[in-house]
Amino acid sequence: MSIFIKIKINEKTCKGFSECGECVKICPVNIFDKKENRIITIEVNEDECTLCNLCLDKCPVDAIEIEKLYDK
Amino acid sequence: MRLYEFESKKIFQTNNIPIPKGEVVNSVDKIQTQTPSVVKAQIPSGGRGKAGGVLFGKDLSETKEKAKQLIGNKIKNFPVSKVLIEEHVQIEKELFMAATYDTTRKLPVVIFSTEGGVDIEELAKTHPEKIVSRSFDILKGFQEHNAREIVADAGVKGNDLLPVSSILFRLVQVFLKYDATLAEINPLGKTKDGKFIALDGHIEIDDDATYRHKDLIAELGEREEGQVKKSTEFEKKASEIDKMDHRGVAGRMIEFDGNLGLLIGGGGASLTSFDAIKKYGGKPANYCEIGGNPSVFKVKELVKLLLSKKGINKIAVIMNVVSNTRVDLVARGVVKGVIESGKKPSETITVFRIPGAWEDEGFKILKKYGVPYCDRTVSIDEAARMAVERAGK
Amino acid sequence: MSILADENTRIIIQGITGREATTFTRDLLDYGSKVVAGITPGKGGWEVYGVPVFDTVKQAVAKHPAEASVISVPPGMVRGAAFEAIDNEMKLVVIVTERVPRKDVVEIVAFAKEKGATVIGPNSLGIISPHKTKIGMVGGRADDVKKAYREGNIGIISRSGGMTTEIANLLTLNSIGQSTCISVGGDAIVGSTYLDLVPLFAKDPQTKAVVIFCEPGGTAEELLSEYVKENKVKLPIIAFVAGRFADEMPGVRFGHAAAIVEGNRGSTKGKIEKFKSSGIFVAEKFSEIIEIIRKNVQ
Repeated sequence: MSIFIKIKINEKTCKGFSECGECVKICPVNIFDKKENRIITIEVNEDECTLCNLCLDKCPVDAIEIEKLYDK
Repeated sequence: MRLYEFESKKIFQTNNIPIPKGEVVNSVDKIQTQTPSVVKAQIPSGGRGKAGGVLFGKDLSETKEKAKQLIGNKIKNFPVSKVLIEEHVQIEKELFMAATYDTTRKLPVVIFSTEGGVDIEELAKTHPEKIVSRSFDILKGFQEHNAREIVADAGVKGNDLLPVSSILFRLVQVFLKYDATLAEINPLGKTKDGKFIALDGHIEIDDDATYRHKDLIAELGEREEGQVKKSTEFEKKASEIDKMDHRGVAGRMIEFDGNLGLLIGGGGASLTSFDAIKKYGGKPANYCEIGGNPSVFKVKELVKLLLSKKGINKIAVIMNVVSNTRVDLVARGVVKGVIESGKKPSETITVFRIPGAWEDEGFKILKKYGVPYCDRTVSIDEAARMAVERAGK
Repeated sequence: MSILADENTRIIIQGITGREATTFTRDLLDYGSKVVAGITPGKGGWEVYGVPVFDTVKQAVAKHPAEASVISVPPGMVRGAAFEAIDNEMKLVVIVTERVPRKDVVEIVAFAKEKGATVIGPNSLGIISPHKTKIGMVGGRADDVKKAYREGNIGIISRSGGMTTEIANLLTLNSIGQSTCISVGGDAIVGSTYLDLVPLFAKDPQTKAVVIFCEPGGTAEELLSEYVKENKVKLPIIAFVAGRFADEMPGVRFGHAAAIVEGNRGSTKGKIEKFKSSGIFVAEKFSEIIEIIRKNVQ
C-alpha cells in the first residue's frame, strides 16, 4: 500500500506499451509496468517515487498524474 | 581479513618459507602422527598460548587427548573447530619479522628483532633498541640487499645472515604479492642443526583488495570478519535488510540493551549522536550508520526491525546535514515503518533531525503525521537531548 | 586566500560519465567551479553538461589546461587514474572512490610525493573554498552548499564527509564563515591528514583558526598534537572528538575504516589528553565549537 505517493494514469489518453511505453523505460524506481498492452503502476513501488518527473516529461499525451498524498 | 595460522603457513610454504611438518584436522579421529606434537587451536587471534590454546602430546594417544580438549571448546571466546597438529621442533633461538604499513607515514615498514616469541609491542616498550624497524620505497620495491641490511643491522652474523635475510625477503614479497596489511612470522625458530623455520605466523589480507585474489579467497572459504564479538540475531537481520536492497547503506548495526531505538547516520554523525544520547543519560538500544540515500523500503524495514526488538517503544532519527541522502525519502520510510509496526508516528518517533537535501518535502510529511522534527538550526546535541527527554531515561 | 583550491583552479574529472560523477559535475558547474574537461577512456568525444570528454588526461589537458583532478572511478582503477593525473602534472588529486586497496593508496602517495602533488582521499567527499570553488561531492547541490557554507576565516578538516558540512552549517548559522573545508577521507591511510594540512592553514592569511573533526582509531590526532607542540603552532585549533563511547568497546569497528581502537592505541581518551596537553582546544559539546571560537579567535 502506498501512503505518500499515488500515480494516476489516464487510460483514455495513454497510448499503451507497444506504441509508447516511455514511462516504463524511464522510471528509475520501476513504478510502471505493462499488463497486456495497458500501462499499470506497481503499487509497492509508488512510495519510492523520487519526484524526478521524468515520466511526466516523457509522456507524449500528459496521461500521468503524480499525487502527493501528504500534501492534502 | 585475518587468516588462520594454517592458512598463513600454506602461503609461506608456497613461497618457499620453511614451516614445520603438520596437518590441520577438525576431528580427533583424523590424527595420525606418532611423533611428539604441538596441538594448536586455530582461532583468529593472538595470545593463544597464554589462553591454553597450544598444547603438547608426546605420542599419538596423548596428542589425540589434547586435541579433544581443544576441538569444540572456546579459546579466548572463539569457538575452536580446527586444530593444527605439528611436529614438535626443538629450537635454540627465536626471532621476529613482519611487514606492515605505517599508517601515519603512509609507508610500508619491515620490522625485525632477534628476540622473537614475545609480544613485540611489549618488547617495543621495554627494549626498543632490540627492534629494527625500517620503511622502504614501495615504487622501487623491496630488494634482497634491503633484507640483508636490516638483518645485519639487528646483529645477525656469520652463517645465519643469509638464510634469515632470505626468509625476510620472501616474507616481504608475500606481503606485497597478496595485498596483505600485515605479514608476520613470530617466532622464526632456529633449529639445533642451524636451520630456520616459521613456527607461527599470521597474514592479514586487505578486505578492499580481495577481488584481486579470488582463487585464494575461494580456497579459504567464508568467514566472519574482523569483529571480536559475534553478530547477534538482531544484527544479522539488519545486515540481511541491508543486502536485500542495494540502494543506500544501513551498516554497522550493533545491539545494546537500552530502550531507545536509533536510526542514525552517516559515520561521523552516528558517533556524534550516540555520544550525545549517552551524555544526556539516554539508553540506546542500538548503534547504526545509515547513508548513501537509502530507499524508502530499506528505511521502513530497519524501523520495523528496531520496533520489533523487545524493550524498544520509541526511536530517534538523527543525521548530519545531508547532501546525497534525501530527507523526504527517509521521512517516508520512518513513518511507514512505524505505521506498519502498528504504532503511531507522533508517539513513537521522539525526534527527527535530518536537515538538508529535499528537507521541505520531508518536513511536510513529518508535519502531517505529527512527528516532532527539527531543522538545521537545532544541533545534533540538542536533538539527542530532546530524544532522551521524550524516551525517558 | 584559501588553501589548495580557489576560484581560478581548473578541474578535470576522471570517470566523468559514471553515475556519481555526472551528478556532482552538474553540482560543481552550478556552484561555479571551473570544470574544464572530463576523462573516460573509450568515451572521448562525449559531453557531460557541456563539459568535453576525452580518452586520456594527456589529451584533455593539451586542450584544456588544469591543476586539479577529481577521481571517481571503480576501486580497481583508482591507482591507474591517479598515476595518470600526477604524471600529467596535476597538483591536486581528490579521490572520492571508496574501498581502494591500501597498497594502491601507498603507491599513489609515494608517486605524488615524488612529483610534488597533493592527494586528498580516497573516500573523500572533496574540498570547498566557499564562494570560490568546490571540488568533489561535498555539500551536494549548489543550493544546499550555499545554505551550509559561507566565506570567512575558519578552516575545517574532517575525517567524516557528512560532518564537514555539519560543522560548516553550525559556523554559518552563527555568522562565522569558512576559508577552506576539507573532507580528508575516512580510510586508515589517506593522502593528506591533519598533519599535512594544518601547516598550509597556518600559512594562509585568510584562515584564523581550524576546526577538526576526529574519530577513534589511528594516530593522526596524536601526531598533530606533537607537531603543534614542537613547532609552537600559533593557529588556534578546535577539535571535536566523536565516538567516545567506542573506547569501552575495543576491537569493534565504528564509523570509518580507521575507527577501530586497538588496546590503548587510538582511543578518544588518549587523543583528548594529547590535544589538551598541546594547547589544542577540545569542544565537549558540538555547539561549544562556537563558544571556543568566539573566545579565542580574533
